[in-house]
Amino acid sequence: MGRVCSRGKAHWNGPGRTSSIIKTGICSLNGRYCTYDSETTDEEVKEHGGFDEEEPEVDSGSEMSSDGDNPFTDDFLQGSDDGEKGSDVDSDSDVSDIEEKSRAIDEEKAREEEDAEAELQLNIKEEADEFRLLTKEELEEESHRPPDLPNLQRRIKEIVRVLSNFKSLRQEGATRKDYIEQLKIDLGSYYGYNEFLISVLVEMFPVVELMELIEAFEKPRPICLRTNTLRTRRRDLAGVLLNRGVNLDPLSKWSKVGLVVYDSQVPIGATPEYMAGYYMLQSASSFLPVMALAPQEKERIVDMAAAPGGKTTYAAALMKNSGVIFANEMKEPRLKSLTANLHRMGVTNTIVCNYDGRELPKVLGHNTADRVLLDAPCSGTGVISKDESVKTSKNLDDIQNSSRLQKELILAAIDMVDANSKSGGYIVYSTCSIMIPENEAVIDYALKKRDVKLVPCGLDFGRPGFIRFREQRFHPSLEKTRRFYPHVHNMDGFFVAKLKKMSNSKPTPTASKTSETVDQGPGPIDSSSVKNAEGDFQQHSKERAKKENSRGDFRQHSKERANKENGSLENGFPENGKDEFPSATIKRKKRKVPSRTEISKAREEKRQDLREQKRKSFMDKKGARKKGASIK
Amino acid sequence: MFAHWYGMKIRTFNHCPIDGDDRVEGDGDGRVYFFSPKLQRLVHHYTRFYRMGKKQKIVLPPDLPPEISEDEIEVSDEDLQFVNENREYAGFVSNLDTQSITRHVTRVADVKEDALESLYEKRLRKKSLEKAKEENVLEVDPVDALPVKTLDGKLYYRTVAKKSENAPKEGEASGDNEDDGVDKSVVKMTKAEKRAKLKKMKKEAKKQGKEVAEVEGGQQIPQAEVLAEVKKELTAEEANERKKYRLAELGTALLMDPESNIKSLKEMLQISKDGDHAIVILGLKSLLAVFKDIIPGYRIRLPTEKEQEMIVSKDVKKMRYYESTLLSVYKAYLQRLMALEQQPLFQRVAVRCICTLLDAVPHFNFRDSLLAAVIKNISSPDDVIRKLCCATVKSLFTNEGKHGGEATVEAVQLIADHVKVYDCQLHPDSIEVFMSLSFDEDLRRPEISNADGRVKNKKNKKRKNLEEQSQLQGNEKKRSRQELMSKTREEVSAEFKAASFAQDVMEQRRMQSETLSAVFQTYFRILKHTMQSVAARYVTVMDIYNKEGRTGWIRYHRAYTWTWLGANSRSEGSLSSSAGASGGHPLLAPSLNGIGKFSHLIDLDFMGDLMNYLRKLAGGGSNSNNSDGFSDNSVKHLTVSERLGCCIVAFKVMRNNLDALNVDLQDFFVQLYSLILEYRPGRDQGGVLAEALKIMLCDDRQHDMQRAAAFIKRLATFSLCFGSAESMAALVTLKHLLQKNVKCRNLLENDAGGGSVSGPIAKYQPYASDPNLSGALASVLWELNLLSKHYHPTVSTIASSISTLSDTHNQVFHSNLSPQQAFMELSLEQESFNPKGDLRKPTHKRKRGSGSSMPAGNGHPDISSTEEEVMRKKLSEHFLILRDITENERLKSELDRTMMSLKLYEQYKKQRKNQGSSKPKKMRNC
Amino acid sequence: MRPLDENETTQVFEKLFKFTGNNLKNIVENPSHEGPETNPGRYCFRLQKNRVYYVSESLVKRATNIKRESLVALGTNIGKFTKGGSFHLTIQCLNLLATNAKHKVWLKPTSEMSFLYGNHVLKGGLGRITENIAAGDGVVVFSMADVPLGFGIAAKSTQDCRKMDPNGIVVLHQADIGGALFTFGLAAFIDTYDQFRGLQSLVEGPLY
Repeated sequence: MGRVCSRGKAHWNGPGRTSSIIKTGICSLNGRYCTYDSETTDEEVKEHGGFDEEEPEVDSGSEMSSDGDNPFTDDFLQGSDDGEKGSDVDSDSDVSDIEEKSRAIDEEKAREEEDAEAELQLNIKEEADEFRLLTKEELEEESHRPPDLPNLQRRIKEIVRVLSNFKSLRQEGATRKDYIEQLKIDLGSYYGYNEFLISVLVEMFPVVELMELIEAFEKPRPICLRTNTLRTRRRDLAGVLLNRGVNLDPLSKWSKVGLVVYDSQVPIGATPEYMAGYYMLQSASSFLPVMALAPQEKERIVDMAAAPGGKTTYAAALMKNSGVIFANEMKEPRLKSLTANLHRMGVTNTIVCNYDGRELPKVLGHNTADRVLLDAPCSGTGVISKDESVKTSKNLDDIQNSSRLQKELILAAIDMVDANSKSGGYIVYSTCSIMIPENEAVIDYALKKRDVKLVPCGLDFGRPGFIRFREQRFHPSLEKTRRFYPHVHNMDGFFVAKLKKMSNSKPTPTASKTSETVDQGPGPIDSSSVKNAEGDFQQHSKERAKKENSRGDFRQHSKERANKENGSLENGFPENGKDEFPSATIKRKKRKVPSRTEISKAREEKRQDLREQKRKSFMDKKGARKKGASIK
Repeated sequence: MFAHWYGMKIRTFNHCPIDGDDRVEGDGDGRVYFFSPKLQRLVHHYTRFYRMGKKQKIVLPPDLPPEISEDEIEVSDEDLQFVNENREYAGFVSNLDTQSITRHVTRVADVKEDALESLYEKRLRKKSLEKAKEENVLEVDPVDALPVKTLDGKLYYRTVAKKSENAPKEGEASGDNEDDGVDKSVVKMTKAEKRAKLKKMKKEAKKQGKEVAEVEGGQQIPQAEVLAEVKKELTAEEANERKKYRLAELGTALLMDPESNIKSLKEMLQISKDGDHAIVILGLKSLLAVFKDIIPGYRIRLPTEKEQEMIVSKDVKKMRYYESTLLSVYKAYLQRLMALEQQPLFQRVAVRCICTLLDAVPHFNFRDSLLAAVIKNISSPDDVIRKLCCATVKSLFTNEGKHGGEATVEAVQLIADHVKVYDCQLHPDSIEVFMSLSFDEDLRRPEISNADGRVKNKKNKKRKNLEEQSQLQGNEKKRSRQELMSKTREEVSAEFKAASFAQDVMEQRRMQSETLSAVFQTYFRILKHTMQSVAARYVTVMDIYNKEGRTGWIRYHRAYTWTWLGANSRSEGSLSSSAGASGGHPLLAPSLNGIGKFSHLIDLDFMGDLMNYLRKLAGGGSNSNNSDGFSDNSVKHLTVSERLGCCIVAFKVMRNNLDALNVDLQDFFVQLYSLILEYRPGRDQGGVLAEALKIMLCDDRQHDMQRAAAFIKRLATFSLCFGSAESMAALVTLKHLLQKNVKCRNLLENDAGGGSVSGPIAKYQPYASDPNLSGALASVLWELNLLSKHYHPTVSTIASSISTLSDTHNQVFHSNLSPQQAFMELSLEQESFNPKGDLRKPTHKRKRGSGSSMPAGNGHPDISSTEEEVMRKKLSEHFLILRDITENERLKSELDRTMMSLKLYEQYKKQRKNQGSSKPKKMRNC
Repeated sequence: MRPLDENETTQVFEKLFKFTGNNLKNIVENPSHEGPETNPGRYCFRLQKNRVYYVSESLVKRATNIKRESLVALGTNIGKFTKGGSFHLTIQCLNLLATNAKHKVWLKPTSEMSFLYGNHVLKGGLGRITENIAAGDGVVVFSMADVPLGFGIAAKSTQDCRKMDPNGIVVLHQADIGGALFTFGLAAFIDTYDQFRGLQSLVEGPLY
């Protein structure tokens, strides 16, 4: 509520500020902007160069503005300038008296502003003064003070505004990084994220979208039911529930069994229908993996992490209780809920077992299942709206651990699937995390390790997965995977990938390598880059905009932390940029050049593999042909 | 003389087989009749001859023999009557063994008769001797040994002497007419005759009055030609005429003023004891007329001794005398009637008189004997008599005003005993009469209510009713006391009224409850009897199971259960098949109807047993709700219609007294479900089926989805393979079901989820015997598509309308129509089914119109329409032939009728020629 | 996991027979539809950790390679043997019973919840009742919308019910789906946060 009204205020006094700033901007630095614009335009084309040229421009810009004619602007700019200086101490020694003067002027300006707008109420007065990044001291004293939220929020908004239109709105000498840093701190303190998580999010999303995402995480998702078609049909269920005073609607068009509950007089989890298993309370996102799995009747399905059974029961319903489902769950305490739900929903074709998912292939045997659903245990960063603890609890290690586990699990899953089953041969991997190492990285790993390929999930909505994230480059077919975000699809953050197992043979490392390299052929790269350019355009541009330190803290954290402690930017940052730029290019060259040389060898090996295999499945031939095509 | 006798005899024997055949219809007595005619005839001739020889009173007319020898049927009948009249000495006849007689007969057939005659003579002498003994001791009419005691303590014994004297003479002359009439009426009972008889017995009353006049008026003309034709019988004729005159005079006199010439009743009675057939009948009837007229509207109570002593005024004495004589004569008359009722010859007349009396004066004395007689005949093989009695009883039930209901009670109880005695092997009519009983609720209700309230578990109604009355009297007193407190006059008068009324009410209640208990005892007895004959023993599986457990264990539990249940069913099968030999439950149907009608009056205590019986009966003797697998369906002794009837009755009973408890008759649904399959159009009447469908499926409030779906599916299949009428009924029901429970509409949609909704049963099992276990929801109503191409336009229309039901929720036509109506109108249609369908065309138009009113999203209507055009063309040729056939049949039947009437006319002429007296006419009248 | 032995089978059948009558035959003889094979064979009873499961044979075949301690459940759990060795039907077998039930009772909507909270069925709450119920029979309890709610033992025969006062007990409560919810605990059913909220409202929320 409070949030809403404050936002209203922001809108109310938004224009005033912008107008004043634009005035100053126009009167002072008119000539510069065109150059910036030109540079920003070609900055899009070039990968990294933009920043290297940008930095000095900014500084010069600040100096230029410093010796402007208008004293007011001069003072103002110096004030801001000094604010920047505050951020980087002892970098360049300026005249202290000017500093003193400017401060004095600042204060008395503030005073006369008070007199001028005495009648205006408080927040407007505060708003009215130009936004500027805080000085270190201010930061410190703020950290001592209990944070006043409206102020934080205002600042966050400001920063977002500035970043969204950086060149026009930024203050002289302030770098993007400064703003980003400030934003991180504020977001962290305002929404209670730990800095790791917030920084990752900041890297993944452009600022505006980031804000939407974080706001979305604050709100709960709507309550969804899944009709249990083993017991009833959606129409009938809706009728019964409406009679009970539940106000609901069909879920969006992509689900035939989903219902959204707006409100209800009766406890929706306590109606006789619920207890009789006519429906399951289940988040919309957990429909997706099962829909991607699309289990057929009389198939052998394995659900490697089944509890609490929402997906298992859905699969069973789709199979009409035919076939068999091995519902595995590793955690003892969750078994109870799993069996309870299975019985409640009248699912009779399941065998509930309690293994570590990684042992399953040994137990159930290799190449025995038609389809495997791996709803992997994950950091849960997609469901922050469900438990807030994720905001603070998770750190990089958790992510990496879960990522490791997930990689093992997905290999186990692939091993269980029988590639030459008539109906199936699919693996569906899903997490409720939006972390790239838990999703795209895992799939990419699987693509390298086993003879599988990504197939469309059969979900016509959702964002395509990342093909490239900063320095990481994934297999281009990863765009077939789907990402779901609370702020876009109004469901939990979710990731779904569907793999088809091509052959039961566990490929030798060379083979895997070849497959990778082959797929890394020039054709795919270009296509991917093109797609990337049109697909998530601004997101990648923003990424680049804040490449440097984010890259730092992703590549090696120790160094990144060091940077943070001594906020030495001008030495930390350019050398960052310098050694970063070639390294990236070199990396890519490395990938490309040897791959060309290897291709021929790889092809022979591949052909040999094919010959060795008794059966020549159609898919394989096609794959071979594709390779040939990609080479020529 | 002898010679002529011999000749006669010989002729007789030649004809005897025919006589034998004639007899078969003639009399009710089982044992005697086969060989009696020949013998009795002989016997009787000789007796007569002897009497003539002994006491020559009347000289035989010389030309009697030829007259006899003309046709001996008359003689034989007349003899037979005689033998029947005095059974106990003609009874030896029954003891005779056929062989010897036939031997004799053959011997008779060839020349030497002396031995034979001597044999006969010996026998007859013996007989005549003892007869003589009887006569000179006291000539008691053997039939009613009861003497009549008059006021002055004298015993009147009815003497047979006079009769036996003049019996022979007139017997020959007149016997044949009546008995011809009888024979005719029995042998070839054409409609005309039947109707005539019914009419006769209906307007007995006024005709009687006329008849007396008619007697004189009637025989002026015939007498002329009689005199012209035959002068020989003059004496006999005159005697008869005299008697008739006498009857007429007495009758008219009595009717004019009963008090003065009450004595003449006796004389009439005497005349009615006349040996002559016609005279007897006339006498009876005229007496009947008189009695009906003069019997007072009250019971006559004869004065006790003390009353005799005390001095009374003259007119009182006169009154008493009048009443006593009336009563005595009435009694005598009744006895006479009872006596005659034994004899096949007089049976009808007697029964008719009895019935008329009972109908007319049920309040008067000796009602019980009348009732007894009526009830005895209520299920006689002779359906004239039976109908007569039933009609009487019904009228007795319907207008209880005449007798304050006691008659009803007695009658019902008598019938109950009757049924009991005859072990439920009676004619249905005898139970049908219960249907005309009427119980008024406002009397019944309070009783039941406080019966249920107060007395908990008591099995017999009478006791309950008694205590009812007691505590009800209590109520009365209380109420009257309260009313007495308030002293205004109108209240007093009101109290009086209340008191008097209350008395009446109590009385009525008592009688009603007794009637009810009797009725239901009868019904339940019948059900029980049927049960036992069907012998549906429910051997519960657990018993068998225990046995099995003891005997030995089968390891694998499936085999185990199989044998378990298998043994159960097998044992049961043997049981019931052994007992099943006794089929035939004539009274079942009417008793079921009765229960259905009076179901709202059944005591809740009976309900349980009743339902049990019904269930078992509906199961046809086998608990067939799980007899699909192995238990053979040979254990069905009841016809499908009967079992359907059971279901229907069960539902009626439940519906009529569901008080705050809504019972779901699952087993009966199961039965119906299997019965639909067993139904055969020709064999079972579809009306019952339609009714069952209506009552069980349409009227029932709510079904569970599974069951409804199962029935829908099965009805659809059913309507595919049966006549248009049945399928119409089925479709109407189906539609009704679909309209009522929306869930089942997904049978009309061909989408997934249909199967999965049907729970554990994943796919439709058409042979499941339990609707809940046949996953009908997994199936789709593809039948409708075929049915929409049905040759019968109505069926096709409704089928297509149903198949569009899912997407059009508007109430389509026919939804108001009940399956019964549908069945009826179509079955009527079928009888006159010609494809042009002049009578069906407009209706069909109407349907098409409404049919097209529903959106033709799926092209059913127009498809079916084109279909129908083609079909009609095709069928028109086919049914032209059929029409010709029917035409032929009609013509043939007409021809037959004309032929028959001609024959009748000829016979009539013949009789007129034979003895041109005017008797035949009167015979026909009676 | 092992097949039932002689007297275990006896006990199980006796219990089932009380509810299903001769439909027990269908329970045992009907072909199963679970299992990937084209004909998965019949159903059979298996004992695992003193719980009795009613399973398709093909599922049993496939469950063999799972070791006992990590095999949690398979097919339908119909009941369990107590330490004393006596057999009890558990609520999970409700579907099985409801399908083959011989004696049914339908509850008025008003009395559904009280039954789901473990109360007996009173005559007042009776919507419909199958005929020919004898006292002591096993009765399956439905809601008016044919939702199976639980099962119990008939306290009165149908006939006696007619004469009972509306407060008389018709069916003695044995098990109900709500009971399942509570015995398993709220957490047992939590699938998502939404569901958790639903269950919270079940605890706090209004009850009809």
